[in-house]
Amino acid sequence: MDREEFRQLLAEAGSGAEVPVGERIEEIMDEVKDRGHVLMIDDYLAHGSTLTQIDRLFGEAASKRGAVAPETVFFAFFGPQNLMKGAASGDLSYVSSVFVGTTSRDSLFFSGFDHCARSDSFFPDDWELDAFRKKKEAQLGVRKEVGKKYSQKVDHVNQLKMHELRRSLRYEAERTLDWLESRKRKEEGDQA
Amino acid sequence: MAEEIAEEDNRLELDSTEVSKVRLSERYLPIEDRVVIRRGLSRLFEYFESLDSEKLPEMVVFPDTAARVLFYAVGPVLKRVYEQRGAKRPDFRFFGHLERSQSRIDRRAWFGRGIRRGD
Repeated sequence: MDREEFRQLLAEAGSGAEVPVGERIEEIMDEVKDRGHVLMIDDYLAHGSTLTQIDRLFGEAASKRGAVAPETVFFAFFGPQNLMKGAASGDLSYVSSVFVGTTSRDSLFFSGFDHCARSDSFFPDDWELDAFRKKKEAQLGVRKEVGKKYSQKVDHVNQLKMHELRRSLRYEAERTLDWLESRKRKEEGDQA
Repeated sequence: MAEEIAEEDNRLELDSTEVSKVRLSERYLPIEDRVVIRRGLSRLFEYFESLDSEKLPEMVVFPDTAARVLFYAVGPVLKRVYEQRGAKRPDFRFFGHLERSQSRIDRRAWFGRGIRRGD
């Protein structure tokens, strides 16, 4: 994906625009219809409330148009097993299945950039980072009571250099693929 | 797995072309996070492997703003799987402004406290 494609993607994602989640789900249903498969990817699943609400929104969208919701699978990189069981055994009609990458509780998972990921866009490049910083600085002018907190966050965001984080994430992904390949080769070798 | 990744780091750092990438990764992603990424992507890869080609998702959605950056980690895996299968690349969607949307998805339970791990 080149830079321009990414910008388009970002624009489609609705960053900067108030797009109700319900509308976004209706768009998804329009595009994939009832024969489609949708994969939802989240970083962390705590107690299933996101799932429940997504399920409800799919249900509402489906009943509104008298259609069947697409097959929706939910994946979280990280989620405690006991909560997963709760989520999976809930009244989820439209989320077909739920699974997690790991249930390890050791991770600080993405603690370093969590706050910037929470912001309005996910910073495709430094100019986005600058825009975010300016926005937050503008807020600081009128929100002095939380100024220090925001200031710390802004500093932290600046330090993060999102493009380097992106490179790191891609690098880890490539390494994981290499690791899977080598594990597969080893297993095949062991069997032979 | 953390030990395994650390060993890999040491081995890769012997290669001059890899050393800067390893250092960068270490700088931005604590080993605990890298373990989660590896386990997560492995699990995701296994999931895709278990699917028939026609069942591969046509759309991938990141419902939470905090998860958006994972697009970059998931991308190479999706690319590998879809190219291997000769399948059309999926579309991506991101839900924006969950907390302020009309149909709120309540993230406050764990966002509000500033703690995102289970308690």
